[in-house]
Amino acid sequence: MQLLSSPFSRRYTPPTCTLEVTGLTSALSKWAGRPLLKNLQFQLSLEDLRQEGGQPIQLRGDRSQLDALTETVETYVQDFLNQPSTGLNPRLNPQTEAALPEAEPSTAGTASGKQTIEKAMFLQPQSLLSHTFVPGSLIAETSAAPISLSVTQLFDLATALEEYSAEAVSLPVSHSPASRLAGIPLWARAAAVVVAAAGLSIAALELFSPSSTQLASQKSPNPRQSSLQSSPGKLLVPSPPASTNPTSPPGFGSPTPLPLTSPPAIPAPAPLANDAPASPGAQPQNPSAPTAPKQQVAIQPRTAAQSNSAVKPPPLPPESDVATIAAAENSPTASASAPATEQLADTIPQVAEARSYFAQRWQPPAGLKQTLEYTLVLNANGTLQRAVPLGQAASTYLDRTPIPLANQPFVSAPEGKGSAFIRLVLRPNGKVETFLQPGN
Amino acid sequence: MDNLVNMSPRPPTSAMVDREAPLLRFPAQPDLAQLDSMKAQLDLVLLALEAFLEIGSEAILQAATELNLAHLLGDRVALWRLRQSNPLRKGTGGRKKLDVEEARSLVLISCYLAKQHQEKIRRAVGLLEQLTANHRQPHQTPLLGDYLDKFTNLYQERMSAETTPAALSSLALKLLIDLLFYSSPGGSRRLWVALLERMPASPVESPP
Repeated sequence: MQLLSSPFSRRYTPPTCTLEVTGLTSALSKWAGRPLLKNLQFQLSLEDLRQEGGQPIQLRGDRSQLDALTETVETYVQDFLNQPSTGLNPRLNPQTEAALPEAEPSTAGTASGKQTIEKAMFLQPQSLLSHTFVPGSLIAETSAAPISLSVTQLFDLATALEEYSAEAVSLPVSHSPASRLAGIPLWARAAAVVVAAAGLSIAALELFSPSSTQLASQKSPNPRQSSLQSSPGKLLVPSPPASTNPTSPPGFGSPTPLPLTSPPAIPAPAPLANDAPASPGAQPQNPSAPTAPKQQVAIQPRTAAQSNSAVKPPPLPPESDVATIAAAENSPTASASAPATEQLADTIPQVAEARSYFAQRWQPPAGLKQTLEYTLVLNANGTLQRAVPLGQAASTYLDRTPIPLANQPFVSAPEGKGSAFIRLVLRPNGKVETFLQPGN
Repeated sequence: MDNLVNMSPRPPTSAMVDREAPLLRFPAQPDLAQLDSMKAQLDLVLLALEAFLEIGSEAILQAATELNLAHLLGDRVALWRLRQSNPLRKGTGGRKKLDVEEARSLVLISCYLAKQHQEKIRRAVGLLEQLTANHRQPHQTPLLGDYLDKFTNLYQERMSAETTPAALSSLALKLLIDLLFYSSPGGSRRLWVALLERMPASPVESPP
């Protein structure tokens, strides 16, 4: 049985961004009460704060990337809100800002060693009002890494994703590898096996029944089986309506014994972005079940307790999280090379010049145990436009690094026009690494 | 202790990727420090709304009526008793407990008011961004200046903790940004989760 599909297209347009989602609406949508999407693609357009009146930043991706984006943004926003209002000293000036907890490195990413591309997507606080978004595997059509988001942009992005999640449900892709199945509840997988087995049995009966002669002459001896196998995602479709209650946030709308039940008068409560809507298969009821999609959320701010409990390595060690970036440019990933030597992957000479500059000047402060990382944005004339510290330690030690002041002589002028981005890694043992960042 | 808000702080070792986990694990005994934190945070969110929107208890009670929560917040005394559960408040004669229904009501009312005035909140946050980018102080604009003054006055009038104006301004601005996110359709869920996840509140500290 071939299910009919109809095109789906939506635009979500908060003031500073546009999210456009396209795909096909499954005929099974009627059971879910809202569109079930497949072959989903999205395009996100963000205002570029680095260039007033310039071209917006365009990002594209597929369903899993949209899920990862939704999860990343929603988790980041919630963690931002989780920071206590009291006891904060939120200076509002970026660069010197150290009010927010340091982002947590992607330890889960290095542990599992898979889906590195998606893990590279993350958000990081620069201040209460400024946030850095590294889009990871999202395809950027214009200069896009890293993206600086104001807090209103972050709000708009979260709102667009929230609206999308509230409206549509994206179906798992049919050619999903085993890793995707990790997000599907066990019961659903078991049900798929049962249905497939039933299909096989029926087909076998038909083949051996008196009326099977005409079936046996067909090209496909078992159309039902092939249909099921080619689209396992469709088997999951009935789950969203059934799982609406069990997967809604326990605080609002959960059937848990605790009296934190659904608020009777909450105006249009949108489902949690990472609940059933975005990934119906990723909501196992067993809290101990593996939740692979969550591992895509690479970096999140730590709570105060976590910040106090241990000094963690800085975010984005080039060996792990920026593996994608490094690989894309063939730059040495686990580089332990001499600081000032020319590296093969220095695609523009300014990378080596910057390395040489800092190798001559970097004196690790006493007591520094963490690696400091910065994104250096160059002006077209080679002076420094700005340095974006990545992580709290980088913010704290900014004034003790040899990073030149804005618009001071730094390196030679890059060829072409526009800004260049260089990732600077200052290690406590005195070593210096520089890499070219995408977006040049 | 029955029917008290039941929650526990995030274990320090828990991975942040496990965001829903605290909601799925409800311990038998509530954490008193976290309870105090929740009461304090809720009261402060309402305080920020009062200061920014220049509203009083009447508007809050009106919102309660519109949300069919009047049975929990029928009059000024009931509202005062709820908010008096904030441990940061002056005086000791206030109500000590805040049950789940009452906490939820305050969450719903706060987000309802924030949603009603989302445009104004957004304008203020956008203004704050512009001022910060231009290295100007928030006090230099009437919208933010009036809010900061009102918030500081209300805080000092009601709370027992001694603190500096600078620290209070920081608190007020963080609350203003938070209100923007609470004004979205999922704002109630965000505030609720934030209340559950936040570390125990302490009086506003002066900047180092």
